[in-house]
Amino acid sequence: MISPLSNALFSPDPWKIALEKYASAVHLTVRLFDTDGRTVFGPVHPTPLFRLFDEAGYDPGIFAECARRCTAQTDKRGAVLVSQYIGLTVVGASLVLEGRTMGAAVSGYAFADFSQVSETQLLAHHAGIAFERLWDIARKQPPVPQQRLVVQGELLQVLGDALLRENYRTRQYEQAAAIVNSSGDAIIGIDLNGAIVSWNDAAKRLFGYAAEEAVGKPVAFLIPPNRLDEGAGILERIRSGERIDHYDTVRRHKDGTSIDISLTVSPVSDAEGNLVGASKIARDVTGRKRAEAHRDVLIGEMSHRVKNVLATVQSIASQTLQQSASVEAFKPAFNGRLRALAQAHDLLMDEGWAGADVGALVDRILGPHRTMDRTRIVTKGPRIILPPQRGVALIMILHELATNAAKYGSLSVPSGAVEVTWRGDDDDGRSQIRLCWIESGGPRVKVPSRRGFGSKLIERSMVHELHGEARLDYRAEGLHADLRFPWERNPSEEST
Amino acid sequence: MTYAMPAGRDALAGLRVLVVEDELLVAMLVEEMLQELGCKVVQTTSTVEESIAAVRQHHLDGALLDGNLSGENSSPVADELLGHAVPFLLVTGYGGRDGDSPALKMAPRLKKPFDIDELADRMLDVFGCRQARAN
Repeated sequence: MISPLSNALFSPDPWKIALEKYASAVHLTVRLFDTDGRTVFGPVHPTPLFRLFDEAGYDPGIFAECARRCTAQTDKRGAVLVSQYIGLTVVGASLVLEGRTMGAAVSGYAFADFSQVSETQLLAHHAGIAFERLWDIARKQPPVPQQRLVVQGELLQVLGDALLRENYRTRQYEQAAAIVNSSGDAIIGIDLNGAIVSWNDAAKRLFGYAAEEAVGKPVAFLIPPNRLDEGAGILERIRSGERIDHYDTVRRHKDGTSIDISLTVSPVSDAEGNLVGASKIARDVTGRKRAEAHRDVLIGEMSHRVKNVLATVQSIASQTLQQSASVEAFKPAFNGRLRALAQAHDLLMDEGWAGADVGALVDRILGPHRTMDRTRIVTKGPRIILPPQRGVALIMILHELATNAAKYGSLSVPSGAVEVTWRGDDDDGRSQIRLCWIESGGPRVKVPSRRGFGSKLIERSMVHELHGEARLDYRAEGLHADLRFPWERNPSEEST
Repeated sequence: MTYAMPAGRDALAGLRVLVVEDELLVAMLVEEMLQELGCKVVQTTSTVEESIAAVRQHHLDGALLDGNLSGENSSPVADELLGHAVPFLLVTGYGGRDGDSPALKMAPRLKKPFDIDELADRMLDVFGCRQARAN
C-alpha cells in the first residue's frame, strides 16, 4: 500500500505542475497562497486574463482576500466566488488534500458564457488528457449550491482539483515506485486473483525472473509444488482484508533452488477504499537460516566437547587415583594432568581452534622447567600445526614425559638437561612427524619395574590418537623417547 | 577402586565388548569400568575404518560406540554393527545431528559423562538378553 509522503504533500511542486496546466488550458491566472495569505506560488500569468486584469484594474489584494475567505471554511472542499469584474469571474478555492487545508488557489475566467462541455473540452485539450475522462471526473463531483458560485467557475475548480489530485497521486506513485525499486526486499504487487501486477528489482534478484517474465503470471508459480495450498490460503486471507506479517516460508528460484524467505503480505486498496490486490514483501532469510543452522552445529559441537572433557577429567581422576599411594600423592599428579589439559585448550583457543603448533605445545609444557641455564632445555623444530584433537593428545604425552623427568629423570637435578627436537619428513613417500625427547645429565636411569599410568598413556595415546608409535628407551644416561606419527601436511602451512 | 555389585549385574560378566572411542582417556575409563563389570574388552578402536574391521573380525556380544570419531560421523560403524546383529550403546555428549544414519538415530544412548552404575544399567537393558540367550 502506498503511504502518504509528507514531503510531497507540503511541497508546492506537484501543485505547481497541475496549476500551470490548468492555467494554460483555460487562460487563467493562478496564484497559490498559504493559510496566512502569503504567496507560495504564482501568479501564473501568460494569459489574456492578465491583460483583462490590467484593463479592469488589477488588484493583487483580491487574492489575499480570496485566500482568507477560502481558508475560513477549511472543512469544505469547494470554491468561493470572490469577485466579479467586467466579464470576469474570480473564483477562489481552498485546496484540501488528505483532509488538510494547504492553502488557496485563485482562478478567474473571462468567458462566462462558455458551456460546461466546451470548457471541459478546452481544458482536456490543453491539458492533454481525454475529454471523456475529464468529463467523467466532473460529473462525479458532488453538486455545488448554485447561489455560491457561477456554474462554470465551479466546474473549472472541480476539474482543476481533479487534475491536482491526479498529479499529486502520480507524484506520490512515482516516489513510492522509486522507494519500492530501491528496496532490498522483493516487493511484488498482485491482484485479487493472485496475478502479478508489479515486480521490483529486488524481486528479480531474489527469484531470478525479470519483470517481463513475471508480470501477468499467477504468483503461485513461485511456490514449490508441496506448498501450493499455502498460496490459496494467503489469497483467501488477503481477500478478507487480513495482513500477514513475517511469515517464514520457502519459495522457488528460477534455477529450481529453494529460497528461505520471510513474507509480509498487505492488502492494497484504491483511492475509494476498494480492495484491489495485495503487496507481497519477501525478504531473503537464507543467510539467517544458514547462520541458525551453523549455530546449532556449534552448540552441538560444544556440548560434545564439554561432555568429552568431563569424561576425560573423570578418567584422569580415576586413573591417577589408582596409581596414587596416598591423597597427598594424588593431588599434585591429578592437578598436573588437569593443567596440561587446560593448557592444550588454551593453545587451541589462541589458534581459533584451528590447530596447535608443536613448538608451542613443547614450550608450554617445558616452560616451567626452564632456568637461567639456557642449555638445560633445548627445543628445536619447524612450525607444524596439528589438528585440535592431536594437539591435545600430544600435550598430554609431553606432560607425562616432563612429569617423569621432573620426578625421576634429568629435570630432577640441576645439572640435568632435556633436548626436544622434531621434524616433519617423508618416510617412504608418507608424511610423518618424528619427535625425539632426549634426557641427559640426570641420575642413572633404571628400567621401571612396572608400567605406570604415564608410560601407558604415552604408548597407547601414540597408537590410539596419533596412529603412530612411541619407543621409550630407558638408557642409563637418560630416557630417550622416540615418537613417530603420520601427519597430513596442510598446504597453507609452510615450514620455517 | 572397587564397586558394589548389585544383583543382576553378573549377567554382564564374560560379555565380549568392542569399545569405539577416539579419545584415549575416555576409552581407558570405559575399559576400566567394563573390566570392573567382568566384561572382556575385545578391542578398542578410534577410527571408522579400524572399527568396521574389528566388527567383521571378532565375535562380539555388544559395542560401546562414540557418535563422533575425530570429526567423522560413526554412522558406518553403527550400520556394520546392525548388519552383524551386534547390540550397541551410543556413547555421546549430545543428541543426534545431520548425517546420522537411521541406525545411529535410533540407537539407545548413554550420555557422557557417566558412572559405572549407569553403564551397567544401560548395558543390562541393551545387551543383557543376549547374554541370557547365549547361556
